[in-house]
Amino acid sequence: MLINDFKSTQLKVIKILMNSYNKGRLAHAYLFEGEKGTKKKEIAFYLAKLLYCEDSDKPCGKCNNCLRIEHHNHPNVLLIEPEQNTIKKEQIIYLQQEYAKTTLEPGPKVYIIKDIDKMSINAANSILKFIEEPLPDTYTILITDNLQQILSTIISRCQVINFQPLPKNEIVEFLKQNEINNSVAKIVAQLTNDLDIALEIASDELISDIIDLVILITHEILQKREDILIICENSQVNLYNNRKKLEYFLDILLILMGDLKSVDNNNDNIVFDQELIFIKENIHKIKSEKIMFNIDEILKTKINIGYNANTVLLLDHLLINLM
Amino acid sequence: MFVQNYYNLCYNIKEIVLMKEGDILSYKTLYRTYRPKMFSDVVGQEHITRTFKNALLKDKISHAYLFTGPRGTGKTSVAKIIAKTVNCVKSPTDEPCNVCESCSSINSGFDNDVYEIDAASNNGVDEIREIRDKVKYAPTTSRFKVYIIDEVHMLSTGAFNALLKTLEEPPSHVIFILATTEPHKIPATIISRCQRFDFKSISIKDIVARMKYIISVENIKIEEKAIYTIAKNAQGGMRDALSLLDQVISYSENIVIEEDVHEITGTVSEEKLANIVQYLILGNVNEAICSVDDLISRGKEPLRLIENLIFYFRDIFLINKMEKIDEQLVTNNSDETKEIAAKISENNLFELILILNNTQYEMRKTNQPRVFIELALFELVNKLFIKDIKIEKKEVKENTLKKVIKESETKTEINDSTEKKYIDVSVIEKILNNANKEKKENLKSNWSSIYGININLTNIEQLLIDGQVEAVSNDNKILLSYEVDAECSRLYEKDVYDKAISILNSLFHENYQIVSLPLKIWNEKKGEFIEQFKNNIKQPKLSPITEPIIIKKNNNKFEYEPEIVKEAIGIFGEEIINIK
Repeated sequence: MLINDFKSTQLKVIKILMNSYNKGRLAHAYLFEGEKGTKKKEIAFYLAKLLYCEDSDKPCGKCNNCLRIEHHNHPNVLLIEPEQNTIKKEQIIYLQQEYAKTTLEPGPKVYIIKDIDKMSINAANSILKFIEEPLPDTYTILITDNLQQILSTIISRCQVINFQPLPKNEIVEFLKQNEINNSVAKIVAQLTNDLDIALEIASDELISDIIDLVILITHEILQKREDILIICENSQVNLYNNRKKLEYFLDILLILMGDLKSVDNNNDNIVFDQELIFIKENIHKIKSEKIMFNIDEILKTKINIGYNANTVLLLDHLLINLM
Repeated sequence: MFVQNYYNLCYNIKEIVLMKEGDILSYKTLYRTYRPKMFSDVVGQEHITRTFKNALLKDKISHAYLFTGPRGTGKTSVAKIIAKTVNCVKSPTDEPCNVCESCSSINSGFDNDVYEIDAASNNGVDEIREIRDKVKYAPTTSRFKVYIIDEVHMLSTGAFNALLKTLEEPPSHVIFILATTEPHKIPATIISRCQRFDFKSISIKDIVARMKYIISVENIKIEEKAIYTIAKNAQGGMRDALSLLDQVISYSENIVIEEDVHEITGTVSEEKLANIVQYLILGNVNEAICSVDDLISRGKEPLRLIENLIFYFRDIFLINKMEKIDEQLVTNNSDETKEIAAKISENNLFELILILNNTQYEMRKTNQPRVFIELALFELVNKLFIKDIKIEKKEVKENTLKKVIKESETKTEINDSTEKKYIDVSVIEKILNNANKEKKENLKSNWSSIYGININLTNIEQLLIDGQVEAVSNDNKILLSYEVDAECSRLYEKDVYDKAISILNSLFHENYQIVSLPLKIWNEKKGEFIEQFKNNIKQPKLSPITEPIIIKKNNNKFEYEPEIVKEAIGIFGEEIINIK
């Protein structure tokens, strides 16, 4: 039953782990790598349950062992997380001592270390020998969302498993379940890969105002009327006073421009599907070079926002260039 | 040491308990099962194994060795083999027997006279003192006491110095073997007391040969092409190769095929990359975008894709440059790639790689990497697709001329809060002529530790991190390049510069000075320098820099006032409020 939670999103990972388990080839060290919100930690605990579950249909999620792992109460399953943003050497030494002791309960030992990119240099080097030659029946699961920052000596000792970002329709479904309407959900799903953040953005009423504004602006661009500056000024969304709002605005505008480009390339599978008919009727009025130019301009503006530039000027500059 | 002993002791107890219960030990991964047990098993390090075989046979063993080299090349394995050979009952011999009591106890990992010390966990002076105190006791059962100190670069300075005397003149029954991946962190005094052996990255040919042996023993069905793909991906590390092999075996159903390897590593096959580039050369962006979209929808990550493309163009560059293609260096070397390589000019390649590199950099910062890839493809097509070049060039020249005129007009009107500065090129010349590569590498690898100073980065630390260390001179002048001109010029503001220097000096305990340059200018000057250097000019001279850097003058007003401050000013008026 548990497997269904991940099966749709991390099919490949589950396939690797289940195949290894069934063939009796589970490695002693795994490195789970992938973006935030891809259920790395959940699957790490899933693996632990797989090792301990007493039921025949493993893992059941109901038996004593499964429940204890679920609540982080199992003595043989240890989770280490960064303290004050770093994993210190002391934590690794503690881990080594803890695992040198014989277990209170029969069965393997599992230790899960989260965010190992936050390890201090000392800690990272201390764990090397431990990963390579662990005590028998010990499993290490390292988790990170930043593979580039990890020592190559650690990577080479583990089996690296790559977690794919959540598929967008998964996020859309999740938002719909939380009573967000379809068109907004589709757009918000493009903004982030994290379910919680997506819900937070989507529940903000502002977002639908921003979407309306973006659509309005695109209409004007397509019909070559020259008053988007005024529209923006008069809009009830005050973009100028809030950086976050401005970023969402730019992101959503970028998505819509991407849609224009898709339609231009005869691809009807777009995010703003409620606008499809209008775009199709008017797309011939704009050159494809102009669309690319607009995308480029939006990206430049996004970068400039990061440098504390004057937002009012930036936005005006962008809107004038978009025409 | 205490931890280590304790650890070993518990290891023994646990082993016994497990055996009594008749428990099945967990699966041992390939790289642990097939760890070389004798010199003939060690792959790709003939220069080392032969030296040792001869030395051991003639019983001429030194008391201290230092093994260096990248991960997965056999440092620890060779150290263990030496430990076995010197203590083997058949000694002096050139191979351990792996049968006698001593050999088998070392193989199982708990021999009384072979100490495998993890220097990273035991890096203090105290642990080293313990070694120093104990070396004088004779070995319990064997001829030699062997200390294998792994990850030795993690020892503290104090620990290193405590080890010096023992390392130089140990009792005759002691052998030290130090192993590390980072030899530049080892003090010269340690290095000079050891015989140093550099382990090479293992060639693709050797990795393939070893994997084939393992495959035949384990009876695994695998495609020939898949073996090569794994070997390419391992980048010279045997352990990486075997880890990957292990994973692919677990993943595949019956027979391992090449696509399985790509699937697991998230890489894109050479064929598909070649396809995309072909489309670009033909000027067919839409097809190129379609095939990229197809790859992404089948689960390839956009970031990896760009990385693969960068490497693909790099290989094309090497194919164009080299007379005879070195398969170790150029992994994408099919006939199709060579065909493509012939069509692309060298100058173009630099720009292509630069575009992709910038794209990769930008992609890390956004949630919509796909847009960036598509944009990059459009840019690439402009560079690759050869239209009527002459007309275009003319247009461009005119345009740029106009732009230059416009810019010079606007620049004269710059308001008075900024200041122009021309960087003195002789400073850069001096740095480049006195460049110290080791210092640069050292600083570069530690550069990210600026992150560690403070949990909340101040903007000055951020500014430093954003810079790219390009060169470090002997007198500790650092040359930084910045992609964004505004960031570069910030380092010419006096108070920013002072703070930056104090951060650096307190972190690295050196007296550093910083010279920052915009990336564009740096690339120009670098090119000039390299060209002259190639023409055997020992002290190249650079042409002066004509573009000024625009520096903001100090402005003490806060750019952004928090809401509450604004409100306070609104109530009390600006003169009364004192912001702390």
